[in-house]
Amino acid sequence: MKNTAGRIAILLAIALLLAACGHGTTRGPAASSAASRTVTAAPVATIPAGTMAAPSASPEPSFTFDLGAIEGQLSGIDAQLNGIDAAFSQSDAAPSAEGAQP
Amino acid sequence: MTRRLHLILAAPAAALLATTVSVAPAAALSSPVTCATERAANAAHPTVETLRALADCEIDRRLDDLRALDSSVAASTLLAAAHADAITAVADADASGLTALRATIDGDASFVALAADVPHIWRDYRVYLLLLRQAWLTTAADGIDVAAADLGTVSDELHAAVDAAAMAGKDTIAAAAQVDALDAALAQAGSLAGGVAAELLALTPAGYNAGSAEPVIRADRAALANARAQIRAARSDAAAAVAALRAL
Repeated sequence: MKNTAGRIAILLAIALLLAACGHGTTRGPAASSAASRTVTAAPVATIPAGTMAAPSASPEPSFTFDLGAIEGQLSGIDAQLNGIDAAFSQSDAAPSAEGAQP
Repeated sequence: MTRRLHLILAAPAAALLATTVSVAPAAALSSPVTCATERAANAAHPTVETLRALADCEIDRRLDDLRALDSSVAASTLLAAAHADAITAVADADASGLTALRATIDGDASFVALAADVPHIWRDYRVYLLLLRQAWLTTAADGIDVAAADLGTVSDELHAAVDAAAMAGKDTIAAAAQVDALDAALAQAGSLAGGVAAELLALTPAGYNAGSAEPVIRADRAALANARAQIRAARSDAAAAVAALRAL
C-alpha cells in the first residue's frame, strides 16, 4: 500500500509538472493569435519628392514644370552678364593705353 | 475635374544647363609706361635714334595688343560671328599697316622724315582710342543680345508655367506680374542695344581724328550700360517669378 501510494504521489507530481509546462495541453488563445497575425496597412498615398502636390488616386492629367532647369538657364545668364561686365572693363581701360604722340 | 500642378523643385539640371561664357579678356593691355624709358630718352635728347626707338616701342606694344585682341575675339562666346570677323579683319589690317610703318620708320635716315612718319602710329590706327573700344563694346552689345535671347526663352517657359498653374486653380497674380516685368525689361534692353554694334563697327580712325567718333562711342557705351541694367532687371524678374511659382 505504501508503495502504491508513493507511486500515485509521484505520478500526480509528474502530471502537475507537465500541466504547468503546457505539455500535452491545448495552446492558449494568445499563442494561437501570434501564429496567425496578419498585418494590414491602410493605403497611403506617396508624395513624390520635390513635388508641390500629392497625387491622388484618380488618373487626372498633370503638368510638370522643371523650375530647376529654368534656374540653370538663369545661371547661364549670370555668366553672360559677367562676360558683359568684363567687356565694359576692357573698353574703359583702352583709352589710357593710347599714350601721347611725341 | 481638378488638374494637378507638379512643380519640380529639385534643381540638379542647373549646373548642366549653365552656359559657359568666355570673353577671354585675360591679356592685360600694355600702357604708355611700357615705353617710358624710350620716351624719357627722346624727351631729353631728341635724335633719330631716340625717336626711332620710341616709335618702334610704341608700334611693338600695339602689335602685342592686337595679337591679344585677336585671341580674345577668337575665344569669345558672346561676339556674333560676323562681328568677330569684322574686328579681326581690322585688327589684322592694322597689324600689317603698323608692321610696314615700322619698316619705313627704321629706314628713315633723317629726323625730319622720321618725325613725319611717327605720328602715323597714332593717327592712322587709333588702336586704343578706337579699335579696342569698338571691339569690347561690340562684345558687350552682342552679349546683351545673347542674354536677351536666353531670357526670352526663360520668359516663354515661365508663361507656360503660369498658364498651367492658373488652369490648376492656383493664384498666379504675383508670378504673372513678374513675368510681365521680365518681358518689359527685355523689350527695353532690345530697344537700347539694337543697332549699336553696327554703329560702333562703322567708326574709323579718320572719323575719330575729325572728332565725330568719340561722341558716338560715349553715347553707345551709355546705351549699352542701360541695356545691361535692363538685362539684370529681367534676370531678377525671372528669378522672382520662379520663387512665386514655387510658393504656389
